[in-house]
Amino acid sequence: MSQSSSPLSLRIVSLYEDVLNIYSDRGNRLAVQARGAELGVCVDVDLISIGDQLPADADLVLIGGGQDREQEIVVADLLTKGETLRSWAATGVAMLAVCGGFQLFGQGLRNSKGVFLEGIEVFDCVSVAPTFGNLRFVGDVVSQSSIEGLGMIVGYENHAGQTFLGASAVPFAEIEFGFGNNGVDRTEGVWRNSCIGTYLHGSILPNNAQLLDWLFEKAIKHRISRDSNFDSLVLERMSEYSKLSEASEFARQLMSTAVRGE
Amino acid sequence: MGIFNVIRFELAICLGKCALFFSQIFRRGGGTAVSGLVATFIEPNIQQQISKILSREVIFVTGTNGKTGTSSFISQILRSKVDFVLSNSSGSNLARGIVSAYISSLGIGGIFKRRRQHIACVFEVDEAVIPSLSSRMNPKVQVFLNLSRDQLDRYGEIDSIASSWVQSLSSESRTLPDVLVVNADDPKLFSLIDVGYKKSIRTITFGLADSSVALDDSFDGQDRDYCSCGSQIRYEVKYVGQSGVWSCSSCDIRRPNPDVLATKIVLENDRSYVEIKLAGRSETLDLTVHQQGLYSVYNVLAAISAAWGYGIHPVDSIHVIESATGVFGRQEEFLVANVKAKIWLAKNPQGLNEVLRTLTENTRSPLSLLLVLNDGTQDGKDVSWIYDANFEILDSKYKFLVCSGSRAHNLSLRCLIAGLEVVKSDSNIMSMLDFSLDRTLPTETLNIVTTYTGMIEIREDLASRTGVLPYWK
Repeated sequence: MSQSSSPLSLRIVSLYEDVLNIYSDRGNRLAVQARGAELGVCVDVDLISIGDQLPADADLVLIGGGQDREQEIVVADLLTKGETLRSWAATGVAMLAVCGGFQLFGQGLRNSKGVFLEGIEVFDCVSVAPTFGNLRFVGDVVSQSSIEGLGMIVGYENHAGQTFLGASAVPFAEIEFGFGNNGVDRTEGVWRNSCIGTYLHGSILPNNAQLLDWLFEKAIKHRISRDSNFDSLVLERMSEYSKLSEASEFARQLMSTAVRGE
Repeated sequence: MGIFNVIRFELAICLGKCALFFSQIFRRGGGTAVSGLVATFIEPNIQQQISKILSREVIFVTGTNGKTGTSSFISQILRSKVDFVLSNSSGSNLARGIVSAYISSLGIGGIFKRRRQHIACVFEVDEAVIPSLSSRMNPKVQVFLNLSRDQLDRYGEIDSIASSWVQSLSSESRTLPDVLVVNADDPKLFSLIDVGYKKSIRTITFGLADSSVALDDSFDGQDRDYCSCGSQIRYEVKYVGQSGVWSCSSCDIRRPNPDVLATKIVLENDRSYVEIKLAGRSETLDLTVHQQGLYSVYNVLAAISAAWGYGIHPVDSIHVIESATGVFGRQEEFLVANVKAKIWLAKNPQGLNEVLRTLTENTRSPLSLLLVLNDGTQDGKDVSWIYDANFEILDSKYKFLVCSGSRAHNLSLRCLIAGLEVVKSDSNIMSMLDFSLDRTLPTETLNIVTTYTGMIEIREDLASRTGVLPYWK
């Protein structure tokens, strides 16, 4: 499902939005489009689902969360795209993988039925869901990002799978309130180059404009690396007043205050 | 029942009645659940005992959207035929709410009287409570309306709800219902129809067949659906959410031919015209529904089917539907100092999408809108679902837009991302209600779209201003 393309536009790939969208993670794509509109940057969105070809290049990749069954539905198709996505991740393409998508961007997930779903290894982590009982990590999250300048990240988590990071992997954030990757080591998500894996819904980008801008900037820089004619002044405009960032910042502060019970 | 059990049961009812009395006086909890809570504490088996007294004259209605509206239609139809219809019409649909409904229906002398009357019961039941409650109360008719995303913080995943419904009908240990009523258009409910056929339960299906009311497919937030065989569901036409004329792309499963089929639908500003065809009959039934929106048409079809399953022919249901009164807080209108205010309940993406679609499709002049998002327990603690809803449809359709509720900040951010201009946003619902009413001209309607607890608060305020009784009186 490719939409019209402009030579000077940012290209976004949103993966399996019509399958992995149990938690409204399409809000992340809507936020990127809204920020693009505010900055006067043309944003082309490729909604890529099962059976669709990835475009030749992209600047930002988004994937959301889904239930067990939906992860099983996409896993085979995702594996066919794994090599391309891994090479993109290694060459500066920005990525945001949320919840079920985050699990499949790691080494894999053993789901609640005991079935192992192989991941595409963009991230060095592995996930396991309990096969009995109904332990789920559900609720508001407040965390502190390990990425300099991002500070507090707020969101909502609802997952049975528990994720454990590999020795070399860097968590995206440290949990202040909530469960995070596994409820034990206080890590939340994973960070590698311009790619982020996270359990946070909300959707996460609308509610954390600083993260939205971090990813947007990475995407712009990747776009410039593809074509130096691209309007690099956009990067300067990003520091100007933004109505969207203001509203997001207001929401982020109120959400964290409510969670901390201040 | 031994003498001790009888005493305990009567004591539970009496103390429940007292709790109801006091909660109404102090207006705590509206009195709709607390009496059931007290009675269940004293007699934990109270649901089974009540169901024995009611001798299986019970109809259960469940689904993500339309429970209250459908139950209200069914109750009104049944009321035309039986002495007394008991229902949890205030929407308290967990187990304790049902016990409360029973208790509140009893007058002072009701303890004796209740055994002689012909009582029918219509209970709307929460999606997650259906399996346990239906095995305890053995309903005669079970109605399944639809299934979509709602309160995932409480339910976990949609798939687990669907399979728990199927399991509860496959269980050997319970008395199965005599009749199943299922929305044929929702592929997520097909496994229920399948169980009905396999277990030889009389299964009445309902659905639509009029492509003039098809869903506009420009909304890019629509999810794919999958058959139990793993292949994708394809649609000839979609009507509401994932409901439509569907078939599996690889196996031979497809939408069954509905027994109660709406063959022609005309949606208007304040009413809908529906032509209904019953399976195996050539003549059609025409009716006017005094409610807006295609989702109301689904509720009507479900109610007619349920009454049919109970033993009332659709021909007899139709005139009741035509004169049926509405349900509190759902498309309910108030006249506040010459300004019309209309409350629309929307608490999940599919419900909100249908409300926004109804508002934008059927209203000619730009909308005056107050949107309210709360995050109370009854609303759902998580508000991420607003990103699944099609706020973009409001573009250039509104005169002004005000946001309120405990999560007004998230709601106004959502509107901003949709490119909409929010004139004012504040968590204080009463001040935003006044602000919005002030901006609405006497000839216009202020449309208030709100989650559950916001609806209760606004309705109470508007009711007191206009002299309408609170819902629990």
